[in-house]
Amino acid sequence: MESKESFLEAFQGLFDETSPEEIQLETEFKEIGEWSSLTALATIVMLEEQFNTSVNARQIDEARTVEDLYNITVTQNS
Amino acid sequence: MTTSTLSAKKILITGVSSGIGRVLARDISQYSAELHLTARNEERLNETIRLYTQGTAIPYRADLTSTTDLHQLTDALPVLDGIILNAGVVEYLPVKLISEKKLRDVFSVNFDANVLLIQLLLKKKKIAAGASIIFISSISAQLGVPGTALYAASKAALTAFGKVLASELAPRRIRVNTISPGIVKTTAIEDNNKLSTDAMTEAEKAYPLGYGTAEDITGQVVYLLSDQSRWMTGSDIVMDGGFMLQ
Repeated sequence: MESKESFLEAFQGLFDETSPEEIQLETEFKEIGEWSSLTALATIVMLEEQFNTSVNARQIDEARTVEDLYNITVTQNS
Repeated sequence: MTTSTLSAKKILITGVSSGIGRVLARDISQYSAELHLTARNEERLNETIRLYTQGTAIPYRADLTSTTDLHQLTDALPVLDGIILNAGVVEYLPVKLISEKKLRDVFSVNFDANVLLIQLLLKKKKIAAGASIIFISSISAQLGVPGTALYAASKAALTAFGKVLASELAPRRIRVNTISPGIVKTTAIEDNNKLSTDAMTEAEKAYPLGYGTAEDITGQVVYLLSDQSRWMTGSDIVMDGGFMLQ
């Protein structure tokens, strides 16, 4: 199981204009100015590639915080 | 066109286990053609024949990315009058997340396999003079939709390959054309969990005639296979419900 820290780091790495400090587990990621449909796609691919987790666009829509996304990986890999 | 339009023509269709390929097999079988059908999944290949086609349809289970399978397939096939290269994968990801493996995976199915299949068929003299070759490409090759880089580039390569092939084969009156559809509702699209239903519904507004169906492609393919299109080669036919008008 990947740690919350490594998940957070991978998620922070998807952003170019937003500093990592501005993105924490409790951050509501869709409120980040840089968030777009391409970042959503990047999130889906990152979850597949790095965390062996298959999510669909609806689950991304439903998740609110970064931790919500992390919890999906925990549920699928437990 | 009548039901005998393709009478006695031997036609190969790749990727018939689902989507456009399956509908093409079904519809083309109604024009009295002798079909030669390939797919990776044997069960779904046989299902296509059992449930969808009429007349003669011969299955060939083959993974077109396998050199061994390509050789076995091209040895087994008869001399063909028509070839529809439909097999392909849809893969969306941002450029920043492209890996060498993803690059290879997409190109090996969407481009390399098609090139090597045609090369072997030519080498083994399995393409009849006057035959028609049709590549199923995509309008993605002409657009710049974020996230589609690998898919779009693989289809652009395919379209370019088709044009050169058309020139090389014209002396034998073998015609080569590509069809570039916009979004067609198929299981490959519907199963792509990276596109939300809401986003798909919203995007359809950019299509004056709405999204297409696999059936919308069939008529064009039958025309290109038939002798009625004998003066057409090297063309890339956009079928997109008017999407590119805007």
